[in-house]
Amino acid sequence: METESTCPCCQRVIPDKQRICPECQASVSAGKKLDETLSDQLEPVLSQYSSSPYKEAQSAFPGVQLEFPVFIRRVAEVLKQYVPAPWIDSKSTRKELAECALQFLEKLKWKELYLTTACANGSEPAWLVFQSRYTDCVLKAAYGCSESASAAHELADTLMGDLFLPTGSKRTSTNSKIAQYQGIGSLEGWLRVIITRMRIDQARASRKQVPIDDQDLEPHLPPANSTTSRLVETKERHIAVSAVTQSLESAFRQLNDEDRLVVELYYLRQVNLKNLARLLKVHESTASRRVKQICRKLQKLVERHLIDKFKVRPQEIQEFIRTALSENEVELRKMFAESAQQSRRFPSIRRGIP
Amino acid sequence: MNRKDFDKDFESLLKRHLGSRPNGIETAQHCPDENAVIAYLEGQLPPEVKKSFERHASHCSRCQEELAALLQTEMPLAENSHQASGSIRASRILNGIAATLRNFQIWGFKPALAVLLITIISGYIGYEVYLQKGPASRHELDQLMTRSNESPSARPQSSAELRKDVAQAPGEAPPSKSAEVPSSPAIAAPRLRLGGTAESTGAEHIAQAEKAPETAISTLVGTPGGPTGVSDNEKDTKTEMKILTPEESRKESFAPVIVSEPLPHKQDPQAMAAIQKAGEASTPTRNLAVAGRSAYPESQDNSRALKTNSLKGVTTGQSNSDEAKVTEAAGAPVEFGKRAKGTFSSARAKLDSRETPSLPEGSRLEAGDKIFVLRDHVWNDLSIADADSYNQVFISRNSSNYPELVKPLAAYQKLLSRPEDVLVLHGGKIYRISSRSEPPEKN
Repeated sequence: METESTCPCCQRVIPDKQRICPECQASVSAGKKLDETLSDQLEPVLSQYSSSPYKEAQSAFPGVQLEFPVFIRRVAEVLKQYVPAPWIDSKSTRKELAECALQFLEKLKWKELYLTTACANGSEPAWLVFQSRYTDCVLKAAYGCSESASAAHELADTLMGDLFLPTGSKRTSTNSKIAQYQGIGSLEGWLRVIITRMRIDQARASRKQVPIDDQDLEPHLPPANSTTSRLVETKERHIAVSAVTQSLESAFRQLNDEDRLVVELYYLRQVNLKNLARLLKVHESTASRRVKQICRKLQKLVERHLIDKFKVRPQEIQEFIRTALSENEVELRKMFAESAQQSRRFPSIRRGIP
Repeated sequence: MNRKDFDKDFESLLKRHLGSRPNGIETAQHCPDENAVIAYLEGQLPPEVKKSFERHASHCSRCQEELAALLQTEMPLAENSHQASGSIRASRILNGIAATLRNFQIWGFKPALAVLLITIISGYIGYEVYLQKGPASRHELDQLMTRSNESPSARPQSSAELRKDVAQAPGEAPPSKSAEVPSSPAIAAPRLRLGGTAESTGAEHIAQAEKAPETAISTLVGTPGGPTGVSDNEKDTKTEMKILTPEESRKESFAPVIVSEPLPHKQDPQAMAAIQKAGEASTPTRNLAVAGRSAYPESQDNSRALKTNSLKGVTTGQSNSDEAKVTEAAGAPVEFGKRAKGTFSSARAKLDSRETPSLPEGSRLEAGDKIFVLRDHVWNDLSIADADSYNQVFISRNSSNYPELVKPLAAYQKLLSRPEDVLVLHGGKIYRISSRSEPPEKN
């Protein structure tokens, strides 16, 4: 039996197999995108949900004036960027926001979005409020990632200028950096991210190639008795390194995105377990177990890959790993010296924080 | 190399491998904007966007550096303060309820829901039944266990049978019987329990106890208190009647606990006066039949014993069952004692009115292998030809060592239990068992 549903654009009853009614489909085919069609429906529906947050934001910033349609338009843009269409519930007889849209709007920072939208629209009181509330925050974030106080002040001033100055080709006030705030995270955190990103880009631009000391490249291997045996050993070691590296890469690809990011942050970026737990929103011990679990999983995948593809006997796997480790120390550093350099963390200058 | 070292080596290899891998994404144009980064750190990203962010960050050294640097700072992450409006929250709750209801349409939830409902309903019903029937059922069980030790149909019809019942310990043969003592007007509905037999049902018991909060139930318990070494029928049995408070009656257990202690006659002058008035109190010994868990430390708390106004009826063996002395002992408080006294007087009156009719002169009875003839209220052994040619032994039923003395005459228990004197030839001696304290003078 064929079921029926409603068109997300015009709310007409359509067969369930069809995603959109023929008329709306015709307008889409004529060049009008579906999202744009839906966005025309979105703002009126969204306005009935946003009236209360709008009033709350108005009362939080009494002197800041922002028209309701401007605010709703901004909310609709953010919603469209992060929540896939349709935003309006097609199963409901009334025009209501979809569940995913409601979940997103529930987490939205309405007041901060109101303030930044007002700033982007040139409201002078909004700028004053912003400066009074967030200048210290910006300065503190700059101190956190700068090597000196002067560098931190310079970084903070740069950011404040970028926030106010319009960017892009249109050069309007709505194209300033602060207009990019979307309210899905805290405004303070967003400013920290901008400061950190600016500092990282500066560091990466000024990063120099570090010469590798030849003395460090000598492998710490037992001396060979003869030239022939040394050649054989060297060849075997190269095979071992190649096999282990390929197996590692294969195992790493089989991890999911989150596990891969955890491994990268913990082993390469040296994020400690406490901060990793903060990132994963779990307890520190849980984060520790998670890291060990991922490591064991990687280990099993590497062993399976070595056995299946390189026909390595199980009792030889440990020797393979050890050989690759001793050889890898030289070979890989030679090849990817820059990557190893990237793992350096920012020097902490907390002592410089006033 | 052990496993632990191998794990360490593998971790070292992993670190070096990660450090040496070329990053797939290096250009800043492909990195997510700052909103996505802070939303990811605060856990605010929608699931799909979060996955794409993780996919990018796991390959992007710039984003990894950024995340590591941001995590190093003490910035608060995952703020719990939602600034969502009330309307959105309300609609969110409504949508959640609707989604839950939709989930229950899946058939898999129905059995679980049914089991849950059945468990809750049956548990509630069971609790209600326990509250309503629980105490009554406990008393019914008490009755059942008590009646399991007795004959199902027997009821005493005579005072002799009644006294036999009184003399019988619970569970002894012949089956004990119960006697109902009429209630006193002073007490709502007292009940006597003889030999552990309850006359009233448990529900009546409780109801009456609640009606008369101070003195509800009088319990007459026959207890085997006699010395050992006597046959079952010869056991000295003492009976005590005790008034239990409602709390005590509720605490009654199935098996009575017997506590024997000297009667506190010094502390209870009224009781001693009553005993002396009866003139038949042989031994100032009181048997306290304490019902189950209601056993108070009466040996240490005489005031409590007086307060319960224990009414004591003593039958010394079956031989003098007709002379069962029911001695009342009144104690404080006065009101309580009056009620108990009235109750016991009624009981004694009933016992007196139902005494065994004495047999006419010349009646004969067989006991053991001998024949006895009743002459002048004395059962004479017909095998005695010349009484003076034998040594005579006088045994008073009132003596304290009566059970020991009549131990050789167990075969004549049938006669010994009657109120008349007995003259029997046994073992070359003539025994005279009498209710008197002194032997009669020879004519």
